[in-house]
Amino acid sequence: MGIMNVENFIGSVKVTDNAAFIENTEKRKALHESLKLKSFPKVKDEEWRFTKVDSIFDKAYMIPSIDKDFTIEKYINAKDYAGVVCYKNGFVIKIEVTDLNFIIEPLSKIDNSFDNIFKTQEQVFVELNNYFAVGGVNIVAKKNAIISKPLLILYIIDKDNVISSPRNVINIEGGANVSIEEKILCNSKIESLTNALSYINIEPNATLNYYKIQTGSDICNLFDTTYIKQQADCNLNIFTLSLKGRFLRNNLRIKLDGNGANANMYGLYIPKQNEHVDNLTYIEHAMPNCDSNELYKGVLNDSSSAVFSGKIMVCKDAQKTKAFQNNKNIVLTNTAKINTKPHLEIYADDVKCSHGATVGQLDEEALFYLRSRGIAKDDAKQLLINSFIDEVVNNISYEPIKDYVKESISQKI
Amino acid sequence: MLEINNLRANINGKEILKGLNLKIKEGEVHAIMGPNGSGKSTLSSVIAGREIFEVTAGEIIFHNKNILNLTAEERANEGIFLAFQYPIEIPGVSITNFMRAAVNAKRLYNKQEALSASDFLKLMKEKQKLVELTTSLVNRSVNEGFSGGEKKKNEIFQMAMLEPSLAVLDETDSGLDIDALRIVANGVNKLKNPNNSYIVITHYQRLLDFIVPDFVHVLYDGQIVKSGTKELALELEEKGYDWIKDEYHNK
Repeated sequence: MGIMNVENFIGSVKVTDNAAFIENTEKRKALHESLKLKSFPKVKDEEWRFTKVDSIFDKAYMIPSIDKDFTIEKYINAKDYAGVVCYKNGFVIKIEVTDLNFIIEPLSKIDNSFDNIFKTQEQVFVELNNYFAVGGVNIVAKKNAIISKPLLILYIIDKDNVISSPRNVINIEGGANVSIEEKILCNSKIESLTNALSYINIEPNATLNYYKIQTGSDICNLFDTTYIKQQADCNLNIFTLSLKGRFLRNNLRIKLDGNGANANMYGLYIPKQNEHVDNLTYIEHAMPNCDSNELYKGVLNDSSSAVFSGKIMVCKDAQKTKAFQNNKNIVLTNTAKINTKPHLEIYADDVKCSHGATVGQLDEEALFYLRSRGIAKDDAKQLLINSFIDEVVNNISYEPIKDYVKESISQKI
Repeated sequence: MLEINNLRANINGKEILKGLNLKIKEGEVHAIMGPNGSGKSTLSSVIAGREIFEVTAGEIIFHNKNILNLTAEERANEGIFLAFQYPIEIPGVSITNFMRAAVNAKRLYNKQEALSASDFLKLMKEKQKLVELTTSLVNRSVNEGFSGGEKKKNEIFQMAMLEPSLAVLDETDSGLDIDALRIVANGVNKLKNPNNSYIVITHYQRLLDFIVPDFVHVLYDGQIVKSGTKELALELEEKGYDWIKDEYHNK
């Protein structure tokens, strides 16, 4: 098909049911006009230097009609959760709330209030999501609600060639303390494309633990864009765990927009074969006395590749900022490839900041030490890799999720 | 139990061991001394199966089996143990998990069932006492943040856990104060029995006051150039190595 422009791409998507879109015809027309002028990111764009998207958009996708046939027990144990939102091929087919401190409603109109917070190179993905969205939810965690079980947002792809555009608008009200797990599962046999968009607002004194568990398949392509606004004295622990997927690109942008807000960002990627994982993170310290702490770790095998591009922006007013960023990688083969770019930009003068990145191989000395005690080479490697990964995984405070993640990792490695 | 014949080994194309011969019987303690760069640590690495060394000639017969084709882990499971001169720090791997993996690997190799968690912990406690290793250390990551003395105690603790029939102690005394040296040596002596043997590599006579060798060998220029009894160590302490070097070069 040659190099795709956005307009051709839109035209190539086969739509089964034109009434399914969230946005009305008028708004979609306007989006169409805007998208016509845009192009897909190219490697000369700074934020896309090491990730080519041509081959993903150079394919014919379709939006199927809604299919509510679904057995949730096939995928999860619903009683482990305070509520479940299930998307299937982009449609919201199930909303179930067991803890009434969560209010979940289907999205009837698009809230664009977040779009202007981050002016980004992924605007084309935001607009494509709006244009193609056939399902979305509005989630509210009520004021002062303390809920130990997580809410599950499940994306299921089980049809070939599907483009799905899930859309979550989440508000964590003041003083609430909740967890959300977002999981993607792909059962299709032919490539699919998921272009997910989440807007999260965390009100003062609230705490949100957010777990993105990306367990797609080797033919699943995922663009995940998450914009988060944090108000005063709130806490965020967000995990981006890229466990499986042919192509994964995560855009995580956080604005610390209130005094004393705190964000911990953890990431893990373990690509194999030809998988590609690209993590872009951007955290903006807009207000004073905020802390951010970022740790992303990768173990790359076979001919896989990964990108880490992290930016901390400390604005002029953000005095007494503490911001730390670290990206560590182990490359297991000569053919795997990592590009890492830690980045720090500071305009305030009373701050503590650091950033760094390491790329290395498994420590041969440590490997020999373990083997000299009788531990087989593969087991010794496993021990070393697990200890490397545990630095991220051990921060997961909810045990069932931690166990699931550890199990998924040990199956893969 | 161990017979090394005409052993030659290279690293990066440079020959370090140049036809080394050594015979050790059950229950014997052999000390290997020698000036820096004579090949002592290379010998211990080659016995343990470190792959960066290339063996170009000779054989190492252990319990009637040439072990040169065995991997490091197979040699360990056959009963060879190397106490490292510089034990490696492994952040994130607890000593408990490490030792459980090692003990059970050996049991599997010998077609025994894995130890139950409670039996394993009992064994750990018992062996810890031997080298006065505190429980708080055992719960930490392998060697991470350990003092020099703690690292060496940890080596002997591991040896006690794995009960090798041949232990190579590579400069276990280096970096130890006299108290730590006594604890480490006592541990070794308690583990000694008529069936196991030791190769003690050291620069100093003082370790040999605690672990008394049956034979002392001098390694120089990649060969054993002189062998004797424990009196040889005393003579070396007094006279240094120059006379040995002269003897060797005038041959």
